[in-house]
Amino acid sequence: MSGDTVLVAMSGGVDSSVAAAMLVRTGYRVVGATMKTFCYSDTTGPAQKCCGLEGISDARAVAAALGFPHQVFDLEKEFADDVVRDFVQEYAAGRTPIPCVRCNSFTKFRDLVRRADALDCQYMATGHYARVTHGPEGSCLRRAEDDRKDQTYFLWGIPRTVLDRLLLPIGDLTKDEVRETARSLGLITADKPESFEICFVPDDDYSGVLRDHLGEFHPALTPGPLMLEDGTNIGQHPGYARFTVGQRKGLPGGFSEPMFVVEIRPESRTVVVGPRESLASTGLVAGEANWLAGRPRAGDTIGVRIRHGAPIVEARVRSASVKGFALDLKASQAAVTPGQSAVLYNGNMVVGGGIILESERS
Amino acid sequence: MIYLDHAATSPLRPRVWEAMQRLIGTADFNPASTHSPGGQAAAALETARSHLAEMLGTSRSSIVFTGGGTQSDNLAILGFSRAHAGGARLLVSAVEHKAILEAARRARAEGCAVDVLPVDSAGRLDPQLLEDRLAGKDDRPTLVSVMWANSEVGTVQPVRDLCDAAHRHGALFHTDAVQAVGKLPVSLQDVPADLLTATAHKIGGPVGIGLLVRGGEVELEPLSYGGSQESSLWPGTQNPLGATGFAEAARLAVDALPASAERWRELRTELESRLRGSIPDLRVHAEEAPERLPNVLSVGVPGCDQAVLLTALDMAGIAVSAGSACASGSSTGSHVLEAIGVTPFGPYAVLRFSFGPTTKEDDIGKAASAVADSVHRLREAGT
Repeated sequence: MSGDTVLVAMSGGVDSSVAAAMLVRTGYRVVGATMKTFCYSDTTGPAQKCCGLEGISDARAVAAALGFPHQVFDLEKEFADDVVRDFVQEYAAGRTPIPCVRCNSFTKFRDLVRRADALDCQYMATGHYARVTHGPEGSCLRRAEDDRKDQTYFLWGIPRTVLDRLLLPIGDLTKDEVRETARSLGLITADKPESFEICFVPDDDYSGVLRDHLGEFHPALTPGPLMLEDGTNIGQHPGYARFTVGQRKGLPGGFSEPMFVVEIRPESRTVVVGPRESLASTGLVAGEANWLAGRPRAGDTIGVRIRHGAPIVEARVRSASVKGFALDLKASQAAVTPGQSAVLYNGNMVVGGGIILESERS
Repeated sequence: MIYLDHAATSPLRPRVWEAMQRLIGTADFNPASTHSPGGQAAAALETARSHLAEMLGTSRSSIVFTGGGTQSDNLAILGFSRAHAGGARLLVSAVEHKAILEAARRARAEGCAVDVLPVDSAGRLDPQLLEDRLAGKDDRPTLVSVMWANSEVGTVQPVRDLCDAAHRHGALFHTDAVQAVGKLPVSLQDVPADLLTATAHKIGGPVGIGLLVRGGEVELEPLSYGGSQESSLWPGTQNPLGATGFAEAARLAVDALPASAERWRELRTELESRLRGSIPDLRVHAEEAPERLPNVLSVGVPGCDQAVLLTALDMAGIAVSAGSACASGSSTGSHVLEAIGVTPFGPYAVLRFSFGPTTKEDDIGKAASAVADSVHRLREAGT
């Protein structure tokens, strides 16, 4: 372990800076890598804090201060194919994708790992808030110590073989401890604000990205009917890709109770709205499954998280295969949204996950 | 660490540092101050100016100190274009430094006519092509800008012939000699350019000082305002410390010629043949150029990811670059390689090795083996 080489993915933020510093302290030979995932000159306005040029120069400065080599790896093409294109297609299909999941599954933990291989790096590390344990029974991905910061929701798609060589040094720390460590080491990223935006979406305007890729006259971006669940037409919406299940903003008022998007039907461009209780789902079907621990059997009870930051709730496994799974939720959940992830837990261990294809409303 | 990136910055030479240190407390004042210390500073600045002028074969009054190569190039291009209120004409080669190309783009936006001239596969601009473009009646004031030698692939331009062609057609001639000074004989006695750019940090001088030689005939509009320093062309407090370092670095580099160039040429030949021996499909850029910079070797390795190869070399203690110093790792492709027809399909790692006074023969062998090992490993891993 000590003396082994580890490639650490560095965004230029405080988390990956501290992750790198901890690896250096443990005695690893560290190489820093910043992924260039899109062309910075394509986005206008001030540089994105974490992924723009400032991110690169901060990552370099941290690497230099800690005394290890750093390089920017161009993954633009791979990222465009695996992440941006999927992002656009999912919205066009009426779903609400999470590009960070695919970036982890493909760009970071497949394409960047391939580069780590070429550099003879036995290990790969990131600054995610999650833990990985390596034992004789295999490697397990586990939730972070700081549950509010836990990022396992975005990490379920990691190839299982990568888990064996994955290091997540800050998974035992809270965000405050991470900042404290950064300050005590004098890292220039110690007090950098956090970024919550999607890196390739400037100003949080995702419909602008969709417009660039689909054209402004794509059905997903042009008006369609706004309907109640019983089929009553109540007006028009400006394009279903601008909506997500559970959304309230942008819907007409005048109803006796607040209305929410409960379903998007891309084939007819319809956005269906209903009251809060209509959002309740009792089950879900997920595809693109990835299993990090043993695949559960039908009838098993398992924990599931259906949205980042949502609590883990109990479910019964209806079926689970290599490709996907179906669950019955013990208590109904609001806004189970196609395109989002369903991540399965056994205690603090991530069992696997998938992309929600269908939400089953009663 | 074996440092083979002198074309990016050649580290400050100890004797340059000593020369600069001698000024501390004696002449590091404002040369514009009228008191005696100010006078000492002015004297140091003017001594440096006259040494540099002598080395470049020009007069002291034609040397304009600037902040570096990019600033000098901008002053030449935009200063010329603006002096003619956008009614001028610029001809530049396609392989110029971005400091020329981007300034020319700006000049075009301000109304100046800009012609970007293609080069051959060696990166060389054919003087006949320039002659053809200049032929025909055009009364607009015209400036031709062609670099003395290319920073990315090392091609030395036929500057003498290009300068003559420009002059035959009544055009002015600027050359960016940033990479040539100290590596080749650079004298305005041989090539009577009207404007010439040079900078200190490529020859072991300090970063932050460069110069533009301006022949008396050339009208330039300054890019900034607020003082009469440097003939009002580069106003602001002058830099005697930097200028002294620049002059000392230039003296050391020029005094070492031609022996230093001969030594680099041998190192380059050895590195080239070792790399070819271990990587059969290696491509040497601009190899058919009649003359290349003796201290620069640019190669391409098909099927290898550039960033991964640079990282592998960094880990092995070899500091090289991909051709231009760009921290963002931009691989949108080099405009120079594109101009010479190197447009590979798929991964292609470009490595530019550049030597300086501290480069030893031993370094070459180590670098060559490190490259061979890394390329082998990358190819096995499929990157």
